[in-house]
Formats: sequence, structure tokens, C-alpha cells
Amino acid sequence: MYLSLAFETARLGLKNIHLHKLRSFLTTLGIICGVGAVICMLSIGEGASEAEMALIRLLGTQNIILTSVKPEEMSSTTDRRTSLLEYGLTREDLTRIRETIPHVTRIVPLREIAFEASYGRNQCSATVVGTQPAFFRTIRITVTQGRALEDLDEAEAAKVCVIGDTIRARLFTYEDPIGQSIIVNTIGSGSIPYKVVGVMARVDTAGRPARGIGERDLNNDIFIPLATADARYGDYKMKVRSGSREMSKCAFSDLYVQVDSLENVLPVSEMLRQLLAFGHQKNDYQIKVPLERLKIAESEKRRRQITLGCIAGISLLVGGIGIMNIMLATVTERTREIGIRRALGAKRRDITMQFLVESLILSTAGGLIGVVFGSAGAYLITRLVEWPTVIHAWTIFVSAGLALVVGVFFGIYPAATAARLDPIEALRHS
Amino acid sequence: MAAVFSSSYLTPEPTHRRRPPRVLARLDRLTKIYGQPGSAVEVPALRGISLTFEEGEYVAICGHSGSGKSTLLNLLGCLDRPTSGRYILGDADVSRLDDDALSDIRSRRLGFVFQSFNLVPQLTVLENLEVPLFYQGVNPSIRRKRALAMIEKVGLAQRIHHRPMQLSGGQQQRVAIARALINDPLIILADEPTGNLDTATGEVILDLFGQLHKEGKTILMVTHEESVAARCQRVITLRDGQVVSDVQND
Repeated sequence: MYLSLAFETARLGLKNIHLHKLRSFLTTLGIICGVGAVICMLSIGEGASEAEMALIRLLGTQNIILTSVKPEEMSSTTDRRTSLLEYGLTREDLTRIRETIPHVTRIVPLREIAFEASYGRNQCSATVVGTQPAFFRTIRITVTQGRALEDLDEAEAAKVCVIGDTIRARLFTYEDPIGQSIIVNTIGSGSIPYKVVGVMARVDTAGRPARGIGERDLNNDIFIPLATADARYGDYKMKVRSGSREMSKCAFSDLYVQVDSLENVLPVSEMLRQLLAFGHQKNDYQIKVPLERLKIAESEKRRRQITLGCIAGISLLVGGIGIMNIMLATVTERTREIGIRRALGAKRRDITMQFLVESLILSTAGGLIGVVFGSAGAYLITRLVEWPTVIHAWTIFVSAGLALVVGVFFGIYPAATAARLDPIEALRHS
Repeated sequence: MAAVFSSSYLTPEPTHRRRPPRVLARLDRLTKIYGQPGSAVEVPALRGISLTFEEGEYVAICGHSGSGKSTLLNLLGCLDRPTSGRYILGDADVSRLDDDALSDIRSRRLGFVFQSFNLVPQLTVLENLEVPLFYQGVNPSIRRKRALAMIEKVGLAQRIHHRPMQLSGGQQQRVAIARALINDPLIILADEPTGNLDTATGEVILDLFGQLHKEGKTILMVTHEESVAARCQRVITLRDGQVVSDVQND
């Protein structure tokens, strides 16, 4: 009974809207724009944080990353023909951490060796890194083809490597990389071939390859066993430029410290900070805590969502005011009809419902069209401006729900005005 | 219940009548005062009207403008509430009912015919007829059936999908009469139903009312035209909010 009445009221509303197509469309346009804006804004906000957070998660929230940094004052000593830079994390640091810091389950050292690799005639820039097999268990990366580095590779100091996806695409565009040999060329050690044993999964964030926001770009890495790196290259690196040579000594470019549980990450990072401050005179290292960054990113995301949502919400509000305006005009225009309906037995709530349903239809239609336009807008933003956008189900529900709320909120007053009209006065209205 | 208010207790019953006529509506010292009571702007529109309407009566309510006939019609039509006095319609005292209950009475017990037809312009003829039934909550298929039967009765069956603006004045008024009849009301209230029509069309409408009267419908018609009043069975004349004459035509 009530259902059929609601259905009939809706039909009546649709009919009246149909009678004023242009007017209804223009009224709805406000809501369409509002909902579209909400979806676009939220999807941009979501996309930006998603990209960053995916990367942070990949690095492992249980990890603390210590990185060697070439100190400023040393890199400027180029007046000497030959210079030796000694900086960064040392073997002593590694030992001290291992022996003194509690809650540490694993420490994985990394050493960068070279920045170029070739296969046949193909050559590309790459970061060749020596590391222990445990690295693949410390960060969340999977090997899609072949295998990761194994303990046996380390024990044998085997000349094998695992490559990132970008390297695979550049050097082995049309070939299966497994079993092929990559040549890594350095001044100190000459050309050494490494057999490819595995390819890592592509690191994607929000649908595009990650470019590494100040972090490791795993897509562009070539990993060899650390023992091999020790045996073939040692700690010294030489860079030759016209007229000068530069030698540098850096034991580890990174140390990945894995902590046993999340609560211990921040205390351990504080301990590490103090330990390293004691051992180093120069500021030649950095401590990165993905967990800390994740927390910052999350709170930033919330702030960004609220700001963007509010800005978009204002346009939705304007759309609502548009609906209210038109509904008030409609009520005035149809005063006589209201009088007739009242005389023929319509109760106040019947009149309220009739006009409320009309504004609800307008706002809901606007909401649905807005969802379509907003999604299309988000897609276009990704395509044209290359900003990552993510549309969650909740974004759609929230924005469509908001449209509904706006419809009720701004429809109530005109509908109540219509219902309050005196039937005799309304019948006399011309 | 109706027998309580039946005139048979008050007046000697004519012997040729088989049963006492049923009283449909009784007004008891009805007054209506506009404006704040007791203040300077107080305007009395009705000053104590007592009337009884029986089933099957065809009544004209006459009077000059300002005599209170529109106010009386509004009260009879449950569009307004009296300041004092009682109005009993059927078996219920409607003078103290709230707005929702009055709406319900209007949709179930009363039929309105207006001077300016008052059809809903965006609805078709058929849909216009269905409006009172819609607010009674009658199921759509029954509504449609009754509307079709009623439009047949006023002879506009071939116009059911037209809109009011596509019809002549006389046709619109016939639709309005059909709409007033559709809920099988106790009383049909007509407010100058021929006022907006030319004489010839007005005759057609009055003939239709005459026919309804013969079928036993109760009709109350407000008019200021002598010729219209002359066709009615009973003529009530108002002046300054009071009944000055109440005569039966022969």
C-alpha cells in the first residue's frame, strides 16, 4: 500500500520533471557538477597518497633503513687531481648494531657498485647492488621469473644476478632473460658477466611504474650476491672524469635493519640514531623509517581528503541551493494545483511528499550522472595530466549519498511551504 | 445513527412517504469570524446559521457578494473550520476535526465543482478523475476502471487522453463534475458552476445537474443568478451572514 503510493508519487514527480526538461536539467547540473567535483577531488587525493603509501609499504614498515650519504664538504674537494673519499656506513657500524641493539631480527647490507649494465648491444643505466639473499625476505618484493638470490650464491660468490622489471624491458625486450648474461663494466675491475637467474615483479603504484619518491627504484636495480661484490670489487669505487679521478670508499650504501615487531620500530630507530651519532664525526648517513613516513602519509592523506572534500562539497551545496530555488519557484507556480489537490482530499503530508520526491529525484539523478562524470573526469585526469587517481567504492557511495542528503535538506523547506498553504487561498491563486 | 438527527422527530411525517429522508448534513448555529476574535479587525462572515440538508436535495444558496455564501460553502466543504457552532456531516461532527481528518472527509464524502473548473493542467482527463481516489489510496487498476466508467457517464469517453487545455469550457466542467462524482460523495458542492460559461453551455451543465438530482444525488449549488436558482428544488438566501429565506420551489 505505502509502497505503491510512494511509487505513484515518484511517477507523478517524474512527470512534472519531464514537463520542464530544460529547467530540470539546469537544476540538476548543479548537483552533477558538485558530485563530479567531489569524486574527482577525492580520487586525486586518494591516488596521490596511494602511490606514496604503496611504496612505503614495499620498503617494509618493520624496517629501518640506514643510508650512506656523501657529505657536502667532501664532494667539493675537487681541486686535488686525485682524491679519496671515505664516508658512510662502515663494517664497524654493522658489528656494533648487531651486538648492541635489541629487537633486531636481521640486518641486510647493500653496496652499490656500478651504474650501468649491458647485454649484447643494449646498454642501459642501472644500479648494480651487492646484497645478501636475506634482502628478498626483508622487503616485500616477489620474483616473477626464475628465482631470488639464494644462500648458495652467497656462499659460492656466484656471478649471478636478479634484475628489476625496467632492466628486463630495456635489455631483454624480446627475449627470455633467464640464463642470459649481463655485462657490468667498471674501471677497477673491468667487464664481468653475470647470469640472470631471476626477474623481480614490477613495482606499480596506482597503475603506473613507481619512480621512487626518494627511495630505491627497485625496477631499475640489478642485485648480485654481496660476497661476489666483495670478491670482485671491494669497498673502493673509482669515478674518472676528464682531468680528475675520484676514489671513494664506502662499505655499505644501505643497511636494512628489520625489527621484530611494529611497536619496537620507533624505539630501535632512536637507539640507532644515538649509536650512529656516536660513531660518526660527519653527517654522512641518513636514517629512514618507513613506519614514520607511513604515519605522516596517512595523517596527510586524511587532511588532504578533508580539504579537497570540503572544497568540492561547497559546489554540491551550491547545487542544493539551486534545487531549493527552483522548487520554491515551482511551488509558487503550482499553488493552484496544490489548492485543487487539497480540496480533493490531499493531506498536508501528501503535498510534502509530492514536492520532496521531486527534489529527491532531481538530486538523485544529478548524483548518478555526477558519479559517471566524476569517474570519467578522474580517468581523464590520469590520462591527460598523469596524476594517479583512485576511486574507491566508498567515494562513490559518499558522494551519491551526499547528493541525496542535499536533495532532502534543500527540498524540505519548499515542500513544507507547499503543504502549509491554506487550501482556500491556494484555490483563489491565479 | 442518522435517525437521531432525522427531521421525522421534529416535523410530522407526510403519510405518502415510505421511509423518512436521511439527513446528510446539519448545521447548528454556525458562525465564522475572520481576524482575531475580540479585536478591532474582527469581521463576522457568518452569524449563526442553522440548516439541515436531506438526502437527494437540490439546493441553491443565493446572496449578493459579501453575504457569506462562499464562507458557508468553504465550511460545508470542510476546507475551513467554523468559529463556533456544530457541523455534522453524515454521522460525524466535522467542525472540530484536525486538518488530516478534514482532508480525509473531503476525499471520501465530498465532491467539488468550481467556477473555474480547477482541473490539474498537466494531467490528462483520466488522471484528473483519479486524483480524489489517489488520495483515498485506491489501487490503480480500480481507479482506472472507475474513472473510465465515470467519464462515459458525462459523455467524454473519446477525450480521456486530452489535457484540460485542449477541451472547451463546457467539456472541462463536465470532467470536473465527473471528478466530483467519482468518490460517490454524500454531497456535491458546486460554486457557481456556470459562472465561466456562456448561456448555452451553462444550460448543458445545469441539465447534467438536473439529471444527477433525478438519480438521487444531493447537490448544493452557490449561485447569484435567479434563473439558475429557479431550477433548484430549494433556495436558501443569505444576507450579512444570516439566512433570510429558505423556500421550496414547486
